[in-house]
Amino acid sequence: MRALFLSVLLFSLMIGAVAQEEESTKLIKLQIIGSDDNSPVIGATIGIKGTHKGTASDVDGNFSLQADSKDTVAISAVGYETQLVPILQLINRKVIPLKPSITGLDEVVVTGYGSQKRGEFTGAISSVSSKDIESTTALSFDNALAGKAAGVFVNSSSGVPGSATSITIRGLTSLSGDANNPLIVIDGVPVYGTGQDLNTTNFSPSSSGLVSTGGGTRVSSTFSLQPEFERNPLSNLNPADIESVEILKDSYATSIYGSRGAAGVILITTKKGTRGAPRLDLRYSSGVIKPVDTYKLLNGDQYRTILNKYYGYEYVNGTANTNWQDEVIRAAVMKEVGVTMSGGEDKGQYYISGSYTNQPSYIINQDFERYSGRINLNYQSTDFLVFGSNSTITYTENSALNAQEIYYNAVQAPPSEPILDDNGDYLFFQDMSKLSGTDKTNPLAIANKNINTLEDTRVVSTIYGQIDLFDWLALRSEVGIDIFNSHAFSRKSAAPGSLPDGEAIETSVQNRKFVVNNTLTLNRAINGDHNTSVVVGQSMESSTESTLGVSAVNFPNDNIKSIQATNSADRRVRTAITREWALVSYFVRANYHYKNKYLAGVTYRMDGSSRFAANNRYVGFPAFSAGWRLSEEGFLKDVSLIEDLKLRASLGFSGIQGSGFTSYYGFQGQYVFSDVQYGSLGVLEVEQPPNPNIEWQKTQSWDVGVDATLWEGKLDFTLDMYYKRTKNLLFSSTVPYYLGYSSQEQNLGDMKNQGIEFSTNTNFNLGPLKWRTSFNVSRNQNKIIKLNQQGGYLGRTPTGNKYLKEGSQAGLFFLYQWVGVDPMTGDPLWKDGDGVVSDNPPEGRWRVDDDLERHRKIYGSNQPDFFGGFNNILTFKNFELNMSFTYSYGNKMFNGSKASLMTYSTGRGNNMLAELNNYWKILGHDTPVPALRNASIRKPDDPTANDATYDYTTSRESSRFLEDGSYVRLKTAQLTYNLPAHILSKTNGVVRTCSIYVRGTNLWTFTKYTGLDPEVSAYGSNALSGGVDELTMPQAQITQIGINLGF
Amino acid sequence: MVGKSYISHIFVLLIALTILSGCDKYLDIKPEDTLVETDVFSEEALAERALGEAYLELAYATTGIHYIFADFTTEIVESDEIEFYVKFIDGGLSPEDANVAGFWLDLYSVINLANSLIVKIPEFGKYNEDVEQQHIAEAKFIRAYAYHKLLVMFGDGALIGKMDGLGLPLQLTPFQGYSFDDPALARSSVQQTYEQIIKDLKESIEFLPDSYSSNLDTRSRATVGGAKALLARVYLYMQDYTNAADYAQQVIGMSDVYTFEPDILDLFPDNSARNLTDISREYIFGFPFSLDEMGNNDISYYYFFKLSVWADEDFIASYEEGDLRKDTLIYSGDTQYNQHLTADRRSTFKFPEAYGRDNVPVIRLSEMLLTRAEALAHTAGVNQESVDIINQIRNRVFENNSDLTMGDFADSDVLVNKILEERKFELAFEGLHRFDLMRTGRPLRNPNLSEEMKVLPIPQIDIDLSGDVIQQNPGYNN
Repeated sequence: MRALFLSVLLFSLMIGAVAQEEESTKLIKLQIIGSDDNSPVIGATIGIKGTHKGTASDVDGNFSLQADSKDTVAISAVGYETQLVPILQLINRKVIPLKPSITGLDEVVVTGYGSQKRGEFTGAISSVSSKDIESTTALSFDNALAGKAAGVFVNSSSGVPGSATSITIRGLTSLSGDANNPLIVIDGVPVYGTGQDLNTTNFSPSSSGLVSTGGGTRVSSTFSLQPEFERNPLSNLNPADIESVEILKDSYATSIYGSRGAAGVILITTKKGTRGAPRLDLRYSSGVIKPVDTYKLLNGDQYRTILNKYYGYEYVNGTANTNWQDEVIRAAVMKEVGVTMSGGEDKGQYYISGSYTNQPSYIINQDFERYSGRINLNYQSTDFLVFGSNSTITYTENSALNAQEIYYNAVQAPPSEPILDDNGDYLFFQDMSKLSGTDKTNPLAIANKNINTLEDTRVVSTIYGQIDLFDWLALRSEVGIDIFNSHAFSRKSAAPGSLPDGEAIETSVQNRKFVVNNTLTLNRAINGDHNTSVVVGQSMESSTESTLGVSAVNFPNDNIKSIQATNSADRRVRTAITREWALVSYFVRANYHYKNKYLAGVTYRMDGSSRFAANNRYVGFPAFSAGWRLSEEGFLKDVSLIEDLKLRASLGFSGIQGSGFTSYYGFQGQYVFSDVQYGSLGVLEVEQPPNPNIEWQKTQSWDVGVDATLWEGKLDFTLDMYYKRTKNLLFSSTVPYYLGYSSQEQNLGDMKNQGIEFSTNTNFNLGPLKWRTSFNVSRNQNKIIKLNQQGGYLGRTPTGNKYLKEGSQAGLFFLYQWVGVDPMTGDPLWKDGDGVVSDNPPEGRWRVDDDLERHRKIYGSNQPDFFGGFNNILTFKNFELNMSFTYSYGNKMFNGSKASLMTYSTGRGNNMLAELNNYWKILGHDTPVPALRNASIRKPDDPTANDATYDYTTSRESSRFLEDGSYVRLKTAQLTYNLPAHILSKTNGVVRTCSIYVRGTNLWTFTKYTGLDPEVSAYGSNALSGGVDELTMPQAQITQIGINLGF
Repeated sequence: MVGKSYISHIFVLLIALTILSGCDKYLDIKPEDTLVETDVFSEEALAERALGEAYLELAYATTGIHYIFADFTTEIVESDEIEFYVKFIDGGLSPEDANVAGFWLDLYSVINLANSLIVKIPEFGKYNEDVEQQHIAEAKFIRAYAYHKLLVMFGDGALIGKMDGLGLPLQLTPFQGYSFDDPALARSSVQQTYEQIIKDLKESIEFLPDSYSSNLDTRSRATVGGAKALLARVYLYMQDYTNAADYAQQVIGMSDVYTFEPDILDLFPDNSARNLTDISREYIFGFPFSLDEMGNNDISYYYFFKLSVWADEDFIASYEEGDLRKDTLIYSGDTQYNQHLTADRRSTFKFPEAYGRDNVPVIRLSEMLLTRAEALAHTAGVNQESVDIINQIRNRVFENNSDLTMGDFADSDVLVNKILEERKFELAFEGLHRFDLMRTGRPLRNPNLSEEMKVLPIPQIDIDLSGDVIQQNPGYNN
């Protein structure tokens, strides 16, 4: 704590320090134009070298500046090459032409605790610009990254607004689900990122069986809806505030984040004010939200026919024909409003924004709203002291937490049941088994009467001060916070069955993070040939995470919401936890280049973590890189084809901290109070045994890459090959039983990823038509080298389908082999471990066969063979057409939705797919759907018994529903009309820019996957458990129109 | 530029201070919502709770199917002809069997909890030393009991005097994390395992109390009587009859603590009202499941519903006419729920509460009396004391019992057999009969089972992880 205090003190001292000085100056007034078309360059920055003084050009390209005659100014603008001009050369001129930049090599990339020119950087970083993010309707910026950066696989897990996204950078790095998520850093603050342990909020409090498809005995369709909602913590941030996103991929880039870098790092830089006149920007858009697709289900009559035929008597009666799916789905209206003010003068610049986003779910009564504000300030207090702050505050209200449950129930609700009873009240129906103890439900009643809302209030803020000790040495100190408060409230209305008087659960989560970074940055050029830049720094981070959850039952009536209103005996505390962790780090990065030709870099970070025992607490992560700008060599300098060509290579280490609550204090034995008593003795249960041996998971990797710019910048490409090896993989593994435990987290595994990434941009002008494209493709191959056990199931997936095996990729589907349907009998055919095809399901041989595993086969995993994106921007006069595609090839998808919707044997009477009408009917009928009664379903002898003794046809353990999940998706298509300058000029300069657009999101998808959406995951952000669709809500399809105005 | 250099100096100084200030303390974070070992074992109240956990886990580990196993593999209990029971009865167990692994793991979990107390109380304990010593002694009793349970199930020849047979891996220190490279612990011999058990028990006697302030504690926690009674049982199983007779007598002599219950129904009371809070004074050690807070003994359910295990009719028929142990302690169990399946079956009234709220006897005075009688019959031949004990046991359960005399027994074998028969009727359903049969060379339920197959297989996982340092029992090496 002392160290933290000192840092804060230091910071306040800097703020207080003000010194003034004045020198004699000259005033220059100039206009900046582009040398290609002589049009004014708006927003160019004019800075006096060696100082922080400067200004920016206005709408007409004009600027004025006070400068000393000895000074030199640097003029830079996006899309143009930076020019250095002595003041003396400017005094008598009126216009300065700027040469358009064709390489982007002068672009600055943020590298963590500093930045570097792209041309000089020797690691692998992908950048995504604000333009790419702004052209999507993504609620959170991570969804906007899909297909935009090579090596970055983004999977939005479902169509529930604000639900988690899985981001995998260069393959699976760990076998702990959460540890595959990258570290997210916003303006220098590592924020609370994606991960199930941190972001789950209770949404389905009761333990009622209504969401389980597992019915009778041995019916293997055993998926139950995850009882918790996993939110996306990044949906709290307004994507419109983002200037750029940098994705650090190789070890040279990530090792500056040491123990948290192995799964990649995403650096977010928010927009800053620039010098110049105040600018006001307004954004407005509105649109319609629908699901990308809906299920074709049986209607009431078909439903009755099939069930009655299967049971052999009138199992279901009535005449209703309710389409529950249609009843709960709506065309929702979304709205987005944004206001931005930015500008500044010599000393201070500001960027202030406010936004309101309303992006509801396509399920009735399920909404999502976000209010966000940001203030970014920068102030040049004296020649050598700059301070400022980047702060955002957001409030998010997500009342769509029930959406998935409503959808899940509505799709499966029996069409034979009416919505309302004779009195016009909701009719709560019991499932068809009519077994006592099963709950009664009505999806519409849940949608309209139950409340389940999550309110997030979040502040992410950095305050910084920087002192320039010399013009080549600067000290910077940053204090950052991420305060993330959540309040979840679920209120279930009274329903016949287990909740006759309703239930409420209230959860409050308070996460507080405090970060201090101190860095010393050195930039020195000797003789202009030897260039060195060094960052030395130190960082401290601490986090406190508290959860308090209470619940109550027996409400007097449905209108009473407050838990306080219930009888105290009906209330209880569900959770009351506070946990902490801390990290102390020291780091250094040194880059050197000789004549901009030979480049070299070294990075080292040492992290100390509270999660490890003192003997394993500190660990260092070194990385090295080298680069060679071939294009600077004499033999290539005159080759006009090649504008720039750089070879680079890196080698280094980064780590993964243990994730999850259980490893919070991983090494310490822990005990908790138990309610159970032994005689008169109280009991302390062992929560976890000591684990002093637990160590950091370490990743070692190398990367070689080529960056090239050809044909005067018409084409550029980047090619990377990498190899990443994770050792000491942490996962729960067996220990000898005589030690008293069956398993413990151990550093056992060893896994590698190797891959290749290619991205390219082209830029062609065909007369008035400008065509810009960017394309990327990535291939990653994952292999588990060592597990130290023969292979075992992952605990996380209740479907039991994910398998780990030495020598194979992680997260395999390991299933019984479904062959098809015998056209002669209508019985399903199975292949067993001996290669024998028969109608005897291997899964059913558990009584007679000791080793059922041998009948299973490995069917690949949910990791794609290759994936990427393809963007096209066509500009014709004032029109612009932007189309971006994402694609994924070779990933397997388990269609659990279909398994659920093809199940009729449980007696519950859930609705089914219309496809089931194709069931085998007569001898020789060639169909993929077996006869209703067949050898893999055993109905009990008692004709009135309603659940099957077993049913292997819809088992989650069989390959029947495993499908190819490859797809190509038109993620966004947008047509924009920019009002031409001559019309804008009629407003006398009041309106600076105006554009109107139409945009479609998820308009078109090409896939062989027979479910609704190949881009869903029933297990949220957990990439290892991905590739499972369990009536997971498909993505939304959004059609919208919008207008952007600049004043 | 005065300002600049001044500020710069402070800046640099402060940064230096920040970096140099101790960061290790910043990283030493203790969990807020759980207790760590240094807390638990330093305070009496918490250490006592950790002890409570060890007792509780011992109770869970040795009741349920562990307990019933010792009866359904004998002629006393008949079981459903499904794989689960058949494999135990007919020796069809594989080293991969999950139930067997469960027996092993559950008991070793208890041993680990006991090891924690034994090692960590001396290390961290800051409370009254006498109480510390007592807690350690209780843990040693628990450890000895768990090792003995393991030994009679997994020890090769442990019940037939094969002292050089394979015993158990003797883990005597608490779990401190595992690494695959750790050297594996080989199995000690049967002799060494017995020695360890006896050592723990003898050491515990020094610091254990004769009784606690409450009767409940006296019967459910370790006492001098409990430790001596367990020693008597251990010596009897080792066929060391001198020591068995001696320790049994020491326990029988503690008449201020243990009394022979005159009415057998007071020993096995009906707890259907779930209000029983005490244990019969005939208990030397038992698990107080009659208290609701402890949960389910997982035995009563089986015997009440008779769905998978029930009293063997031939066994019931073998009781003598008028034996109250048959007339009152054998009853029809559930007559309501599963009549179509279980109407013909009868069960024991020793565990009548369907939700498992019956106390579970582990060692009671009858066993000590019969142990004394049996051991004496071996060491002293036909003797009056043994005959008196038989009479004492029988007088309680026969209304007009005519006392037996020494003249009724031609030789010590006849006497021993009579004692064993009485022991069977007296202790039936109490989780002991299998071991009595094994140690006396009499057949189990399947009479063709070889000695080797009466021993359970060591879980394959431990053999694999030890790299075969841990050896399998001879019957399972194929």
